[in-house]
Amino acid sequence: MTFSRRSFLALLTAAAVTGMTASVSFADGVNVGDVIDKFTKIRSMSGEFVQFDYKGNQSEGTFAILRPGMARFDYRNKGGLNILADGKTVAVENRRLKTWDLYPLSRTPLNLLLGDRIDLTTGIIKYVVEKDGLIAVMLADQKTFGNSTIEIFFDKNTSELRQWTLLDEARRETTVVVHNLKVNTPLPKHVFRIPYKDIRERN
Amino acid sequence: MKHEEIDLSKRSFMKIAATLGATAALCPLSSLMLPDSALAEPMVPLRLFNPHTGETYSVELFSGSQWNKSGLLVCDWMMRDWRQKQVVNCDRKLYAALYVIQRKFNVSSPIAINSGFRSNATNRMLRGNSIARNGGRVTAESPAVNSQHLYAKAVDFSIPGVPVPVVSRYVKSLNIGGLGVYSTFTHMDTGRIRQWGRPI
Repeated sequence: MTFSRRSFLALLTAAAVTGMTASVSFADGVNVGDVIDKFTKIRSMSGEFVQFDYKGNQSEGTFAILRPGMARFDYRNKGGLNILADGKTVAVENRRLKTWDLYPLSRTPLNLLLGDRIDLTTGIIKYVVEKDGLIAVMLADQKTFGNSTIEIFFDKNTSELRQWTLLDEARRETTVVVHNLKVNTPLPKHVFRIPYKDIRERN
Repeated sequence: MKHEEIDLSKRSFMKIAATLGATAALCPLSSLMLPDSALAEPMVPLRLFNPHTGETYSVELFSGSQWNKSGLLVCDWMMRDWRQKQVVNCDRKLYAALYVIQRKFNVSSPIAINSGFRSNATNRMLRGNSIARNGGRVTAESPAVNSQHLYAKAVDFSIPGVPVPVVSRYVKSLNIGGLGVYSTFTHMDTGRIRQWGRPI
């Protein structure tokens, strides 16, 4: 059932180049364009997350998001990672090795999750599927992100963000499930400041 | 001027202190006793208002029995030296105390942060202004040369709707450190236990 639904929707979204994606609707009238629109209109978000990586490791922590382009993930386990995005750069801190890695945000699919809008007409949406009350939207852009993709899952009824799955260049999968969400609670940009001075001294 | 107070037992204070102390390795809260109700009940955000900048934030300070990093950073931002544009990590015990105080008085308006971290320049300026206002005399209300504000260990605050002496008496009962009672605000710091200012 899921497969046939998937292929049916894949067919539908094959028409994305002609700008049809925005009008993908499910039988009960839920429109994907509306779900995405509702999501990108949320200016700030915070809560807790559980992450499952390709090695089978599970970690958890707290996160905060401020559009456009700002996010922080604080992992609870000692010696784990911290991830910061300040609107331009993604900084990943490895607390065990005491190192930082920097990437341009625009080159990571995280940019799509944190952006002001997701353009439904550019063919960036590869497919939309529905399963277990969730709507999954697969986003990819070979030119910008190479083989990395992000699949974002929304609650079908409330349009609330539930999880996302990142596939990196090497096709390694990381899933982040969010809970205890607080939306549209203002946050100062200070929360997303990357400590460049410390990074220069440390690396 | 009406407020309802939540009763917090000494035993429950100790319990949370132990929990936070054990998990928040970077900052054991053993010297501050947090109430059971602060963490066991549905969490409420800590609401802060900065009368100088007009900012108001609702802060998620805890995640389970641990500190929420982004919440701490929002607090640091509200405690910043806005004159010199300096933000530092302040003593978390202050934030936990503000949270406990907010829950105790159970008021809907946010806690007003009059002054948090101060750079040397700002503290000198405020001390100079205070002395000048008093005709060149140093008074009990003049910012100290060695103020705990310089070390990000002090906060001057008030709670709209709750008289300063009432707040100050509660701060005193928490035994956090320094308590200064002023006409319009309470000074609370995590230095040595001491008290000055108006009688309460």
